[in-house]
Amino acid sequence: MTARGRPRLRLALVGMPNTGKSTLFNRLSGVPAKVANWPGMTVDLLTAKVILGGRTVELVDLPGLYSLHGFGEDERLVRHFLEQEPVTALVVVLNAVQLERQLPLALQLRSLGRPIVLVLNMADEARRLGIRVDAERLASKLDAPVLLVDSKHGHGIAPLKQALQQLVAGANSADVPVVTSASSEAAQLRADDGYEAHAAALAADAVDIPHALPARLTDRIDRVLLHPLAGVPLFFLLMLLLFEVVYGVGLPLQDGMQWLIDEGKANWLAPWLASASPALKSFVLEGLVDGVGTVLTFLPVILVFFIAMALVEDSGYLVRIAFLMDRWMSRLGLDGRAFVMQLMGLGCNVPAIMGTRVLRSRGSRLLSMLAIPFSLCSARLQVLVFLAAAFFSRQAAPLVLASLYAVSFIVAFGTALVWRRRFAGDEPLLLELPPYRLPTLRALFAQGWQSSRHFLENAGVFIVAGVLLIWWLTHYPFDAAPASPQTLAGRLATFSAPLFAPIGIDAILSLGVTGLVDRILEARDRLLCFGKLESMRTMVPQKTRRGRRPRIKSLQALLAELAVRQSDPMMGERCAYRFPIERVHVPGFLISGRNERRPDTPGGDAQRQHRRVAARSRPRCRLEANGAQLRRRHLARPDRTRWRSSRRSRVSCPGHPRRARAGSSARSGNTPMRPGSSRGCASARPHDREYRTGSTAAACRPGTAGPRCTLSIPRR
Amino acid sequence: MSIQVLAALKPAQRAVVTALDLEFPVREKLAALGVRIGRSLQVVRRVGSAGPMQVRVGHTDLILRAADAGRITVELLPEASA
Repeated sequence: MTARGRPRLRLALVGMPNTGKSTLFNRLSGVPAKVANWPGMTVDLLTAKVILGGRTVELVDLPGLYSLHGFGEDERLVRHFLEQEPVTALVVVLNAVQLERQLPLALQLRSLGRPIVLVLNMADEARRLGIRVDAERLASKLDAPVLLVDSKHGHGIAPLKQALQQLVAGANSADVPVVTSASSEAAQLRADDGYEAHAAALAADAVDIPHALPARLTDRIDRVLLHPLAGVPLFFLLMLLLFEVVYGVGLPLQDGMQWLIDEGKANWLAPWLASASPALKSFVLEGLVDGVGTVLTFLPVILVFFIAMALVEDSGYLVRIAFLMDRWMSRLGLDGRAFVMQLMGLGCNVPAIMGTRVLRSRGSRLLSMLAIPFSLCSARLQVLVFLAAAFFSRQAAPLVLASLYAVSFIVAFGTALVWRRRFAGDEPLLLELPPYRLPTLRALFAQGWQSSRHFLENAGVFIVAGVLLIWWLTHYPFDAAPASPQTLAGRLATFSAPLFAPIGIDAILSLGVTGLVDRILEARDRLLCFGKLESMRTMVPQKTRRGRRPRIKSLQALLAELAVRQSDPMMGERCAYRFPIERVHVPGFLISGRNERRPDTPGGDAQRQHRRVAARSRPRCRLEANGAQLRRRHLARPDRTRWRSSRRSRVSCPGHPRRARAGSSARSGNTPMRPGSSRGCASARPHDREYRTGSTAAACRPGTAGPRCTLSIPRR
Repeated sequence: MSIQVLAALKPAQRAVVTALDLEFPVREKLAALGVRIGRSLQVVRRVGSAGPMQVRVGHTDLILRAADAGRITVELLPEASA
């Protein structure tokens, strides 16, 4: 139907849904589209008049269709349009990323006998994925212009316009309508199969998908990896291997980063700030640098983790895991991919939660996020291993541990089960199973870096802000001793003490419970492994009646041991943990960063408690202990652990020429610890565990009390 | 040739899709992956008896749950044509 007033040249945009036809339409027309009502059609089609080479051409945006022979509403509509309305040429829009699957449609459309122009849209995305399309080769094979376009960013629009101009220059007018279904249905289906084969051949010839393994090899690998019996164990084995790699590579890097930051702080920043006011110095060293450092030390592990995840995802294995595990996960309202994240949570919850972004549906993403924190991360494992060893016999301990794992799984999956109605993803498990691919190193790094940058940008700001806020709370007003009752944090603690004292929670500890500080700390702690602090907190009811003393004492001793263990390179570093140690008072054993003596401060219980601890834990910058020895003593007499008596041996540096009596030197008040000397000591006797207070040795110097202590980890 | 649901098919069996009793998003996604009325497909493997199945349509492999496969009616093709 060529009513008067209608231009005689008409181009129709045809393509599958979600190929960016409308974006391209807007790009080409450049003017607000007009909605035209076509006779016999129930939907309105977007049209626009464009000037191409001095001629007015009408551009029509047709609905997306999968096949010219399809039975869908839109497909009927397009057929109807093409049969009713004369079209000069067809602009076939294909998604360059899925060219293989979209080419058959182009072939169908070409068979209509109209001139076609092939637009391979989303070319940028294809390039990013490493998909290379040889447009010229494709053009010569199809005998039609082929253009790579990125309509979203407007790349390649000008050449496309040129090609269209050439096309319409030679055309006279809109031709007669085409016939789309001359043959029988059976013949059509046969023809479609032919198009499929042709498209596959074309794609193989002109499209270079990066390192896609040949179909037969993929089949062969699948026969092993998706084996009905061996598939799941193999999956667990591969994941174990991946864990090993992630932690084997990531943790030393994290260590190195921490070392770099400490070095920079001690050797560059501290001297540079030597003349600055104490408040500024404290702000920079203990607020800013600690905050940024916390973020940075986590960067390597996150980066390595995401590179590993990219490998799992890009190689095509993630979809296969979904396939394998879906049988169980679907009952929880999750799909198989969530299981991978659950497993990753065993390593560390943080990246696992970040990794849930591979789940497309919001519901299942939230559901997995709820469940993941219940899986025991490696840092919690450390605590549990110790608890099991301390309280149960050698025979029972492994069983206890196993049961803890079982409980964690039950709780995690139970959580999912409870919440599935609320969050259950409506996303059906309907995924393409791509052939195995060898992702390029560049693509892996790019993806890993992209995710890590996200972490830096989003979480990073939050963490730094949190650390700064904590710093402020524990340091303001600046003339008060850090974290003392005069500071904001202290006042808050004293304020909430009446509420928490009756249930045996110390005033400063109550700060944690009131949550104000902890909400913020949590952001940090979650990253630095939440499990540790949490378990410590629950384990230390500080003030109790006499009757419960022994048990509690042993718990506290246990905590002390934990502190030592935290320096264990095998376990502790997994979460490079820092926390304001004043909050955990362990009598007789220094975990307190306090080195301020305020014997005359009047005050309530909290202050007395402080004084007591302060008196016991005189500033000691370095404290070494042989963890095994300590534990043995503790286990032998859990009710009468005598940490004090062993102190003398701990403060020395066995095997080191300079037998530093840190305790006495600190007491004398003016012998600062040499920065870095503890490291020399650790390397002299690598089996000796050490920890020191203060985030740097300088912070430990008497009189410059650090607000918190850092369990430093020996570097090897 | 017998009419049955896709979920009832065994690995290596081939069939032609005759009806899709599925709601909009699933139907749409299936169509995008090539599962449309009239298309022939082959079951590659499945996990357990009630687990998801891997189906090959043309040159695309896809996985779908048995629940969805149970709503796809197919016409079994004789083994010989496979």
